[in-house]
Amino acid sequence: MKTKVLIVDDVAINRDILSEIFANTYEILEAHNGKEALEILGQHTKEDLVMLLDLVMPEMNGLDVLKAMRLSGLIDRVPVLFITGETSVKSESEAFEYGASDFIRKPFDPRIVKKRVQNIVELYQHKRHLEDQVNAQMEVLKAQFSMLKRQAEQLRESNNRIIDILGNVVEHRNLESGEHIKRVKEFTKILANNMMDLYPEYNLTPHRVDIIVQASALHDIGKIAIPDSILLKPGKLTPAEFETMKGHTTLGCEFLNHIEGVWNEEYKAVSHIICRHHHERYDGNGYPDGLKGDDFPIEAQLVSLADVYDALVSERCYKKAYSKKAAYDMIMGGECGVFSQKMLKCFEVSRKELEHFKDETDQKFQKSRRKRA
Amino acid sequence: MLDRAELARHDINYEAGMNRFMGKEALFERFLLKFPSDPSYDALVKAVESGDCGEAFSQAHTLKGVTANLALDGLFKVADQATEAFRAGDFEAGKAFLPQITDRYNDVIAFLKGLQA
Repeated sequence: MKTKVLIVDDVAINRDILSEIFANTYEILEAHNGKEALEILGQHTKEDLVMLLDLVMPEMNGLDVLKAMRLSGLIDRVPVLFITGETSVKSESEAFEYGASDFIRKPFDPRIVKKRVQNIVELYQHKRHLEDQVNAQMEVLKAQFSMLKRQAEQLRESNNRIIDILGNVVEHRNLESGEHIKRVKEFTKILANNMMDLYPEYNLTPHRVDIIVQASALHDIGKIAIPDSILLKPGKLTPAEFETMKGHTTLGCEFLNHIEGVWNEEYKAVSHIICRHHHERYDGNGYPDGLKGDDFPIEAQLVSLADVYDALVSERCYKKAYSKKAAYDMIMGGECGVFSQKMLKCFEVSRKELEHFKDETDQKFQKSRRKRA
Repeated sequence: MLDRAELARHDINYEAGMNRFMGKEALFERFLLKFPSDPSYDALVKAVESGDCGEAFSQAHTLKGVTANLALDGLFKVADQATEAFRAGDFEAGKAFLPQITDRYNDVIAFLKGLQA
């Protein structure tokens, strides 16, 4: 399509002269004043157009037209060249300030005006072409970004699924604690969320909490390598048996080491920490490494408390369930090993939520028992 | 055919005009003959009579533009001087140019009417 030249001048002779100059190369549009010019612009928004604008006109002068075009953003698409008898430098600098592409004084040389218009038209065509390219590339980038987001989501899902599968393996091996993993996950979630709010120094984020909760399902994965005679023994373990039992922490880490290339590093690292250290205690009296104080990673601290709490309030092959109050008092009183002050504060804050969840699962359990009976 | 000596007597710049109209004398002549019907001069006279300095500036400016385009150098020069006086807000100074503008305007118009005949 031919580029259009919109000639805006209130004087017929001036319009005719410009029209004479440009008629061969461009399609000519004419406006008698600024208002008309804006109307015509509005009718040709999709076309290549260049405006030759007079400065001093009745109704709406050239600068006002330029201001309106700047306001509507049209100045980015339509180049404006002033052609005027105006000689003052002030007007010229104002025109450029408002976005004019050129300022040509009467009397002008038609060859030079032609050349300048041609230059500006080519420049704008080039600019539009570049903008189109940038827009097209933006579209591609947007599509790629949403694909990456989808893939990240899929990856997260598959990480979670791997952990769930492994957790299920432990559940099936360790018959009596069928619901144990689900409860530890939920207790860990409650504790971790409260910890995130209470103590920002641990740098917990919703993302990190999510990973800790998922990985908590693997805390006992090492138990699949512990003989039934020890794992399912009703009653107290001998010191030798207890040493074997302790091995489930380090054995679990060995299993995790064999899982290569399937899951995300962060998931893997957190799973390791939890698997190895969920039997450590804050005073260094836990196992396997006897970590003390802040060397005891917060991820494992959270799971260890969740694990102890669940062991207390649930029935096990070697013991009956304690009441929720007894369990609370025993942990707060240090009967199940030493926890940090912050951990105990977090436990205190979480108490209601923990007990509420425990009640809920008990009810569900009884319902399903009645159904079976 | 335009008589270059005759144009010079009426302060019309043949060289500049031919340049503007891309060396086409017929075109230059055609546009010169449009000038008598251009309303800029009458509008300027009216604006000065009404005493409106802003409007006088605007009309003097327009006359200046048209005369520049048509290479009417003599008329252009006085229109330019009047424009600057009105721009500066000195209405009386601008008004003082009007007789000169009128003289030169009438001179050019008389010449162009003769050309047309």
